[in-house]
Amino acid sequence: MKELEKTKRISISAVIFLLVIVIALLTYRRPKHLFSTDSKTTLNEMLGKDYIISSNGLKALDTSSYILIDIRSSYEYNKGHFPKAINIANNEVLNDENIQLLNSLSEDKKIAVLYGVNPNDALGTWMTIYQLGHPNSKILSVETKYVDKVFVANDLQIEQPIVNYAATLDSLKSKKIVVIETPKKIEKKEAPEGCGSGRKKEKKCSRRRMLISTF
Amino acid sequence: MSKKYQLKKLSTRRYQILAAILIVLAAGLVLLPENPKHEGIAPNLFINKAMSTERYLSTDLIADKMINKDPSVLLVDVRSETEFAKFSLPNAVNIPLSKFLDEEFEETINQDVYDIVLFSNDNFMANEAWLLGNRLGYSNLFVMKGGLNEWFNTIISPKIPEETMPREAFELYAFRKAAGMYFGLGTTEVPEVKPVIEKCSCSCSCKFPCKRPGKSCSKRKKEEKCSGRRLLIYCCPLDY
Repeated sequence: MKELEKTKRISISAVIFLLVIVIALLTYRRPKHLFSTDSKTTLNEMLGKDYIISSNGLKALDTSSYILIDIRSSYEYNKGHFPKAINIANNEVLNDENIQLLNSLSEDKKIAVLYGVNPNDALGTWMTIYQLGHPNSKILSVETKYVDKVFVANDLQIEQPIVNYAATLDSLKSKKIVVIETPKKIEKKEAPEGCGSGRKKEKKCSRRRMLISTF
Repeated sequence: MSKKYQLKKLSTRRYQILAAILIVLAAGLVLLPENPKHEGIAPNLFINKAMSTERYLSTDLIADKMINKDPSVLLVDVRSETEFAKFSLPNAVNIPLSKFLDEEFEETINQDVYDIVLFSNDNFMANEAWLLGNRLGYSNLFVMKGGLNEWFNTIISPKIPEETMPREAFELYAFRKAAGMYFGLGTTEVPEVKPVIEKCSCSCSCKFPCKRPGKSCSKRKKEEKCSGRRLLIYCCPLDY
């Protein structure tokens, strides 16, 4: 009897064991997209700064060798964009059609030139595309905005210090500081119900009353 | 007889044989072609992280944390060593972007004790470092919004608020000026603050209509009012 129980237990646990393995195999799903470029390579590409292209650099290129990609939302894209630019919103990069498009660009050896509100905006998308295995992608160093509903792009220098930090700090250290006082808070006084306390208020009061009395 | 004997011998050594087979198979694994191994987080997760603006901390917040000597914040300058030598924020550590993934800095960047605030001239380079770190799954990385340029625009030489601006703008300006002093700017002369004497601001209300308007409270009575004894009657003296 005892022996039988033992075998029962063994067979039950074996079945459970097999079930776990089968379920694990069935539910295992390989992620659809995987990065094919490792972060060391990406870092080297970043340090080279070759991936940032200025608008002048773009002009020097043959127009058929690159394609402009607007990574802003489709709403912004429809408001205004570069001529011939296509729209891949930055949160839709991994959509099937976009992936296909990027793959076809890679096959044709075309350069994907990304731009957004500013280069910083396009950085995350560039890095995703680059690491997915599209080394022919660049960021256009422009700042785009709307001036009177017209799409305008200005050149932008990345990582340019606005001042000479150390020198400015030294010159400021010898300066006196001007303190501007914070304006005082004005509290609303309760409006007197009847006549006010001062003479003026009472006068006002009286005028009003006079008016009322004449009507 | 001899066959049986051999089988018996084999069965006693079966574990050794099995182990040998496993070792041979394991050795085979080494010879397998190297598969592209996926490093760090998946692309869809990465893009979600890259889109969020949670990583940005304002210069005011960082200045506040520095002044209060928040022990959980570690400032990391990702610019080059020469730039770092010329100027950097107080107590900042220099990890140039070129060495960001080096092993010697890994334990500094990849931990969950400190909040690491990355900064550069702009926030572009700091963002590059942030994205690299996040791909590898490092948590606790932040970016100083606007970098040192913004630091100079806000903390070092803040804009004087216009008179029509709200009170908060003046308070922020005062904070920034004070923070600038903390970081060694200008003389720390404290301007003389004249005590503000509160004027009698009693606004008494009279519940009773004035029959004879034009008469005001007498001086003495006014004083009484101001002293706190709010006597409603005194508002409209004589007649009520």
